[in-house]
Amino acid sequence: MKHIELLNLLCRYRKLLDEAYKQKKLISVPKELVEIGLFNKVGGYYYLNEIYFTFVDTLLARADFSYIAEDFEKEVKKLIELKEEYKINKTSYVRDLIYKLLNKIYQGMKNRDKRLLGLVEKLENDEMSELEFLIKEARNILKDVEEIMYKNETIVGVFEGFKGFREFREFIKDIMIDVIHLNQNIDSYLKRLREFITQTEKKRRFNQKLYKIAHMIINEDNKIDNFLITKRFVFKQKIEFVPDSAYIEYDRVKKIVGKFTKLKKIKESRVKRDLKEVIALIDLKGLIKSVKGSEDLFKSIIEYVGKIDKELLNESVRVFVYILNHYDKKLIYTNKYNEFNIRVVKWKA
Amino acid sequence: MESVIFEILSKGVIISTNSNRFIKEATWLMEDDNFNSLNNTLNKIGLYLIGENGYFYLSKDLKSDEEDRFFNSHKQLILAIAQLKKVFVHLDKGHKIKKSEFIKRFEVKKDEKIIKALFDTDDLMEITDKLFNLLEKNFVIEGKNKKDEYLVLNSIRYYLDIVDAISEGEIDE
Repeated sequence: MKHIELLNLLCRYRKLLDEAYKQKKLISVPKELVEIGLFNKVGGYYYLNEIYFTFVDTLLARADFSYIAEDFEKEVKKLIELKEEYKINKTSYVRDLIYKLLNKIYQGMKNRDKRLLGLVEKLENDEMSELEFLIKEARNILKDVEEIMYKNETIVGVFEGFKGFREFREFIKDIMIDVIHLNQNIDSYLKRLREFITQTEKKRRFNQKLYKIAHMIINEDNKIDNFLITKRFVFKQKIEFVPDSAYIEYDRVKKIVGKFTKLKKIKESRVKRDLKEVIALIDLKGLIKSVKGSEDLFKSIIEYVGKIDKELLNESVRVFVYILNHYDKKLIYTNKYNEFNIRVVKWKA
Repeated sequence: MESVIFEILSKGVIISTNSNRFIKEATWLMEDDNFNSLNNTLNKIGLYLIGENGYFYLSKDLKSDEEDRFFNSHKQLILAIAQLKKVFVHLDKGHKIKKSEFIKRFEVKKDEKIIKALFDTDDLMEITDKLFNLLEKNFVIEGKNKKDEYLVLNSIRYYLDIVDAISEGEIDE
């Protein structure tokens, strides 16, 4: 079979190949695909040949956890042997073999780099697997990558050694730029893997803590209550305060101003109403006169505004705040709260 | 907008910046000038506008009689989040989760005690609905258009940070 015929065959069965790539095994496949060895039958199922996965996963920069990175140990050993032989006997046959091996290792390193990147990204993006499993896998990969890093130094050394031969010098120079870049990539994968392990362990510790605390809550362990009550001040603005409707007796406020807030039309007009307009409507001078000497500014404002226009009661808080902003020096802020759960502010006598 | 936001926050809502429902309010609050102006205003009446980790809420110093209510509502949510995190171990803000996936994994990941403490039922569908409703009602998750999918809001960090803040020594003693 010619190469072009193989490509046509793959193209014709692209949907089936895609299915086999995703599902890993099929019950039946066309005979011709089995004959060329693209599928192997094992235990009643047809499996895609591993070389297909290697080919596709390399090009698509993918890897699953079964991927074992190559270290090219045998190739490097052979290369060293050939180098020694070439020193003595400079035949074109040995030279071609050296070129082939140099290329094989170099291309292999590039392919490995793509798949390692795929593997690191697969780990980082995995939001389904158990944390223990991911930590274990990441540790194994880290160990492999550390070895690769170490072995890469040997490869660089062997490659450099070929610079001594005029016929290999330019080729080595060319690939060395890439090889150094690939080594930098390996270094970055190491960092990412270490970071991933640290973060995943942290996540696991946190989850364990969360489950433990959940069970302490269920068991009504007073350590949790004690913590929340006594230690909350350490975490100012976090636990000290409450994002809860408890802060304001909302229903009670509603009893007074609520019947107006319930009407949608008024709600809308309230939103759109400009503060200046509100201040103009309530007659500021009259308000100031009315609240002078007040023991509770907010309550006095409600009382005054209610007399002017009940619809404006909705604006009481804004009016209150307006007064706080503009008459600050005339006011005394107490530590008490009124029945609306709003701080009692007095007008200086 | 100030009064709209005040109205929302005063009901105990935590506005997350990744919420679709409160996108306008969150955008408004993310402007420093708006945030500072509203915060200054609220400070004067003893309230605090808090903005952190991608969410906003309104707070005040607790009165002693409010403490129980405060802690109990938080405890319930911590329990609910713990069960959700048993099923989705990676769960964090911004994640998308599916009810159907929860149902699929629940039996093996079920924490009997948590479920018993939270809900009075053994029915899987009922537990799922109640758990998701509880979290949605408290603005920890938000339903997406597709009914099955939910977005985890930034506000989940508020509760997770409470857990994080409890020192290891505190629970190991």
